[in-house]
Amino acid sequence: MKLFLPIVLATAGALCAADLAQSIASGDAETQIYAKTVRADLKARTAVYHGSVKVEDPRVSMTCELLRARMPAEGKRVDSIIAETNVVIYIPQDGATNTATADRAVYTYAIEAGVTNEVLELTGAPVIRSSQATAVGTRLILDITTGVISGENVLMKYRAAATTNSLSTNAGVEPKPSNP
Amino acid sequence: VFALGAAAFLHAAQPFNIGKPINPKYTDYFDPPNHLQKRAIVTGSEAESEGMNLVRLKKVHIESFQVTGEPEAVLDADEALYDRAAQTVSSAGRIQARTADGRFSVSGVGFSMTLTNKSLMISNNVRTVIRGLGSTPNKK
Repeated sequence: MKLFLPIVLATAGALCAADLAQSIASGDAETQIYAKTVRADLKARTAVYHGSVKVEDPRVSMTCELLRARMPAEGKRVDSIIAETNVVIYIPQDGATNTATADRAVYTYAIEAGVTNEVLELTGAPVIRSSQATAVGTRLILDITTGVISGENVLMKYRAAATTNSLSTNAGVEPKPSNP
Repeated sequence: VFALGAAAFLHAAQPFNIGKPINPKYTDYFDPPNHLQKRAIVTGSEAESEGMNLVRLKKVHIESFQVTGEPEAVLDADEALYDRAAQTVSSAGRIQARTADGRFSVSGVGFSMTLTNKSLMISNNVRTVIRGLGSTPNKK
């Protein structure tokens, strides 16, 4: 049974779920993608990038070997991004850079029955690092809408408090709200 | 007389050339039942035949359309080979393409585009710019 253990942590804000959420969700800024090759389907509005893929955005950047993205019709937002192989996500925050690494990262956005579902799922030795904390597990899921981090076999390490929280399978972590 | 004859023979031996079409335009249509709708328009500043159904185009400009007639994407390249039988356009040179709404643009070196299924492959130095990745521009 899936067990969520929401924990309000003073340092969990360092995992910057809210910032990552804002990074992904916001913005009219330009996002640039560099790669060796791309195969684009103009009809389906999909693009698959291969080889030394690098994504640059004012709020978040990423490197990987394969990136699949779908650009929906005009007026709608990107609803699916899949990054694979040596995925590294960089999130600048207050002069430091937080990182998330995994073999695979899947971002999905959907509105179902009036409810917004916006999720970033990391699998394949996923790790989220900040200057104050590290989260590892077999699967890390960031609910961008709520800012809750959940997953499987989650292990939290806090540098400032020098403590470790080992959460059993299917654990969830809720970061400190940035704007109470 | 011999010299004139030789000159006339040599002149006649030159490849038959009616000149290079200027500003050529090729229109591709959807398959039935939408065969009256334009799928793509391929234009160039100059065209040169390179064999059966093969045309070398300079200053290539391609506009693709949805089946509804709405503009879909625009592609520009310095030169390309247009295979009218396979409906492919390819080149080893630079390419720039963008969706009609301007939100997605891509450039690179070396490409192949299939007009029938609207697929585009760029093989080197790919750079994409996406505007409003997370925004909903028409949200009311």
